[in-house]
Amino acid sequence: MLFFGVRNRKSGIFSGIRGGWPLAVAAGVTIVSLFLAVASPAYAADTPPGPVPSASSGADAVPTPTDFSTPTVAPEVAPENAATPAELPVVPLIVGGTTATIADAPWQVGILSTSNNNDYDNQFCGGSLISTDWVVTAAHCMPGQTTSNTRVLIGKTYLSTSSTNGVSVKQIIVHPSYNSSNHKNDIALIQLSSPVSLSPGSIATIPLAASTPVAGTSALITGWGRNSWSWNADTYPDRLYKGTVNLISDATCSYNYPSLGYSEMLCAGTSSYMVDTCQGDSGGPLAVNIAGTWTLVGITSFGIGCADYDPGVYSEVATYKTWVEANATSLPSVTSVIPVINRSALAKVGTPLTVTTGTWGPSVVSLSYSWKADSVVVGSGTTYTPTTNDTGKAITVEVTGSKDGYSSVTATSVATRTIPYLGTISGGSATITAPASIVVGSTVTVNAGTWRPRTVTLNYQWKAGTKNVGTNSPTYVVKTADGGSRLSVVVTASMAGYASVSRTSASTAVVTVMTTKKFTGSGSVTCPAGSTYVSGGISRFSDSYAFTSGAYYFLILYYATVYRSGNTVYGSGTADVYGSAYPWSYWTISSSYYYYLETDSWTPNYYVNCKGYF
Amino acid sequence: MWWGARAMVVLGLIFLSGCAQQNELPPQAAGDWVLSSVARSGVAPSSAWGRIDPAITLSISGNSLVGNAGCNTYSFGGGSGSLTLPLTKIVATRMACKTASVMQRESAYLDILSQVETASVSDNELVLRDADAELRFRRVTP
Repeated sequence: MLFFGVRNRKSGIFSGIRGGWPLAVAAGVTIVSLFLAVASPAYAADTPPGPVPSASSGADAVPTPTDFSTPTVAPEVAPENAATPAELPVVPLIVGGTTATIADAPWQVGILSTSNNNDYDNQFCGGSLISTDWVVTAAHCMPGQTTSNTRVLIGKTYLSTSSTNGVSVKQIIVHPSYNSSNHKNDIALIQLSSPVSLSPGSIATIPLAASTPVAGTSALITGWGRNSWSWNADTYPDRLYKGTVNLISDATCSYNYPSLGYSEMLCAGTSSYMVDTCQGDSGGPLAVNIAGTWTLVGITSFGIGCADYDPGVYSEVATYKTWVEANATSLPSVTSVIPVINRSALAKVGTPLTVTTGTWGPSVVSLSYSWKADSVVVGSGTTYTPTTNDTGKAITVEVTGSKDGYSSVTATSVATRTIPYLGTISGGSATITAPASIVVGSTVTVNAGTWRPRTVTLNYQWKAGTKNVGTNSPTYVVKTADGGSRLSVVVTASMAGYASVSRTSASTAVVTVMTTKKFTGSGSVTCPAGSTYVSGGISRFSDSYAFTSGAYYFLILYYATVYRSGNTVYGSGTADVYGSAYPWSYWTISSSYYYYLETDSWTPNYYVNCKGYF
Repeated sequence: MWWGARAMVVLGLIFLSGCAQQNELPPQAAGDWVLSSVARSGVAPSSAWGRIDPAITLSISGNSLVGNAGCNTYSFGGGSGSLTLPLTKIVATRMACKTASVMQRESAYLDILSQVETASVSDNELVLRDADAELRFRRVTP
């Protein structure tokens, strides 16, 4: 039995299918849980709740909901190598793996659509970088994909934080003999529009296996696919996951997949089959460390469920090495040498840095230079002199080699030490002066004291509780939203060449909240201290009152609208003055006038006619 | 003695009959089909699934069954045996569908398909059914 979970990457919320027969399989026992409703909004829209009508034949009639309301337990023979109940995954991850960083598999790429503005929603398959401009992936990922609606995410651990929309694509080549019915030849190539720069620890190519290692060899699977086969789990991770599986012989795999063409496919899993690739991992790598070199041996293709007592099946890379090499042709690349910044351990402001590039080939390669301070370009040329703006940052240089008839290659140096600061900022304070009772409209001021050097620049960050409020000023006018919070301010002194220093004030007293007071009908109310009673007021349909300019809190039960007199036509008045509100709203009356409260019934409405702080 | 042997045969037939839990797909099921409606217990049948783009398809030929569940292709059978229900080992590719609704429908469809116990064909309509759900397919005419 299997259950295919619900991808909620697009919706951002769980929208699980509650129906059918999700199973938890234990050794010897299958626990069958039945659910009778559909929770997904999309699904619900298609299948609104209601009874299932009788089927045409009595014997096959679809039972009524009550027939299925009780969970049942049914015995089922477990495979010999099935996990014991104690081994059942509680939180299975890739499935059955662990979190990874791109450094664990720097050849891993994400295949993106261009449907959305974020890479988390766009990613639908994985792939492997096999050269600076070619990616290998699964053929079944490519239907409907073109060079214009496909992009490749490279060198990222997290999908949502990249927001790069990936690298554009020049060419897509699907294996001409790919068969979607039997999944044979499930391999495709994507050529990037331009070669990527390799970067230690985040972007690397992986060589293709010339032959497949023997069964039992440990292999690495990675991807952003479903990380749980639990039917109700939030299953699509933002972060890269990895897992370790073993290569499985064709003979062993034939027990699980009796009709496969094993000469082109490779099975992999663990003894309990609890680690596996899953939906979203297609096209991604199955890699083996052969004599210290990670080598691509498989491409994630298909399976029976995920981690569900069957191994995953991968396209066997060694079978396709010749095809890949014949098709992934491009200009030869310039031969690069990692540049070295001289005396990088002594880098400091005012001292020029030089770079040694070594010999690039074939001769003669044109070199260009891009100096960066914490990834921000700060200079070009063969030398760079750090400035005070670079203090606290590390310097790198990217060298790009170009030559006609060759693909350009960029190599990045190791970073220098952090450029040391010229000195230390000292002194200063952050002392708030505020009225004893802080209300909306009150002005609070901070005294920042004396700083050394005296020429530092001060920045003020006002906070109400933990929320940043206010602008960069030593004074702050209290806002309505600050009510109930204590104010504080962080004063930060900065100066080129110096590490910034911050002082945080003590918190003020709590800002008094402008609250509401309600009464019913035409009675009277005594407003608390600090507020003003607005006599007369409006309490029900057609009541009116001449408000003067100012801010009023209205607490209205039932939907109601306040109209300015003259605009009022019951039932069809234009809510262009103050709109509707429920259960309460804060309206500012900008001009003195008579206003009407209009409601959808004659039921007395409630409103506030005390203005102020109480 | 003779009665004892005959009793053993009868008991054996009864036993074998009790074990026959798998149903073969009828020969008329061969061909190409498109999902037209789905019904599950507790949920009104919906023909909306028949309007999904891309369509959910099913093709039956000989002892194999293949189709597209929305974005992933799936298959069953293809070995030496006959095509019998339930389809407990459906093979599917491992893409993430590009929209949540397609993924949801695909997951639900494959979930139901893996559990259908009976199949019937009439008037160019294929009905796959288990005790909890029902899938109706419309024949694709060439």
